[in-house]
Amino acid sequence: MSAGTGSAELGVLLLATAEGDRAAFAELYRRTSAKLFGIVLRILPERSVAEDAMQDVYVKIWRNAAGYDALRGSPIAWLATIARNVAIDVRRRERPGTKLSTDEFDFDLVADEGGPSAEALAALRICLDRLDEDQRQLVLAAYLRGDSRDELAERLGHPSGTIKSWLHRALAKLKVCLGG
Amino acid sequence: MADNPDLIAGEFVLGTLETYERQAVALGILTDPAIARAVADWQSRLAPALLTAPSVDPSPDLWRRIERATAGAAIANDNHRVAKSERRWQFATAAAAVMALLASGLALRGPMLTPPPPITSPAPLTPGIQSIAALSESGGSPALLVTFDQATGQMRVMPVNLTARPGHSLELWAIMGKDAPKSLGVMPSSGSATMPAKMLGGRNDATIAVSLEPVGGSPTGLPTGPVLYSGSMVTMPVS
Repeated sequence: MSAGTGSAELGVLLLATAEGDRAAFAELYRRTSAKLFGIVLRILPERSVAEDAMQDVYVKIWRNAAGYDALRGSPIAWLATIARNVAIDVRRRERPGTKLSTDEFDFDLVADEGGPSAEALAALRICLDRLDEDQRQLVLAAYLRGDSRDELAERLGHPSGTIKSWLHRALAKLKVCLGG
Repeated sequence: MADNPDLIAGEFVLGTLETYERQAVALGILTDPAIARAVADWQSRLAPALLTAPSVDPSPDLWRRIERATAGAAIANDNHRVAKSERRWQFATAAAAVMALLASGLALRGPMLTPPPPITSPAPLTPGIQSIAALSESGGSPALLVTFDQATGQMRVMPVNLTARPGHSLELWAIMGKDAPKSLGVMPSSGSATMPAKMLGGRNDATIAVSLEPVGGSPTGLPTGPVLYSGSMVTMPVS
């Protein structure tokens, strides 16, 4: 499945989509929807809610494909960020009071073999591994699953202020490790 | 100890800020290129982790829904004219900013249900200019000049170096303090414009932003498209 998400191909498809090319947009969807759905499902586990969010994600991509800049990152990372932001917005807006599941509090950062952002991910993984385990899990639970500071505090049984200072320490270390 | 603004930007991207902090960063993204840049940098640092999600095929019906939802939207799709190198991830950051404002509930205060009226009847420039703003892309040269004369309550908007965007309207917004953006009106397709700016309430410290909207202006009363230009009003010394 990852064969179709090469940066050059996706970049071309995004460019054509920005020009209003519907066939290119359909192909872009075909190549990226399973990955983006996985990202959205991690934040919105209920399938029907996640599919509603996916519709918003691709409408945004269609309207804003021209906003992508190849100098800034890979196309799939840009698309993934849009998917993640839409999903978190839905989670915050529609289910602010949702009780947390007690499912696994662990994230396996395994990339697709030879995926387009493999090098960037390898660097990020090395830097995440240098964090304390608690800090690493906080960063990933917030970023990948959309946990708020209060949810993290409740989950770990620490005051919100402690969570904040851990997050800041983790972010500062990450930034230095990733070369500023 | 004051919080490091760069770490606050990082927390904005992680999504762990309190509502009031999120609003502050959201406004900063729209008005301060350094904050927009810091947020974009954190997005690119962290985004690779998103790609570790296992792929899951959505139901076959989803594509048909997306096709229907985008069928009438072709006209809104020609913003490739925007200089991409300047825009960078501006869409992602501006969208995050507007989302944060929406999520804050501020945006729910009196939303406009109809598009705003176009700005019409350009008037001669009056001598009593008191505040001025140069609106530009982040770090770019000015695209629009805005002057505000407190004596007459008139705001005048002059295109300086504006890229034509057929099939869209450019809508002006005033951002004051922690209030949601207020629409000032839609730019005419050519030439300068004047508009009454009573909504500034005598304040000279507004930030003015221009967003790309469907023809006729935002249907929601809040910016819905990318923010193309922004700048802060600066009060001129009275001579």
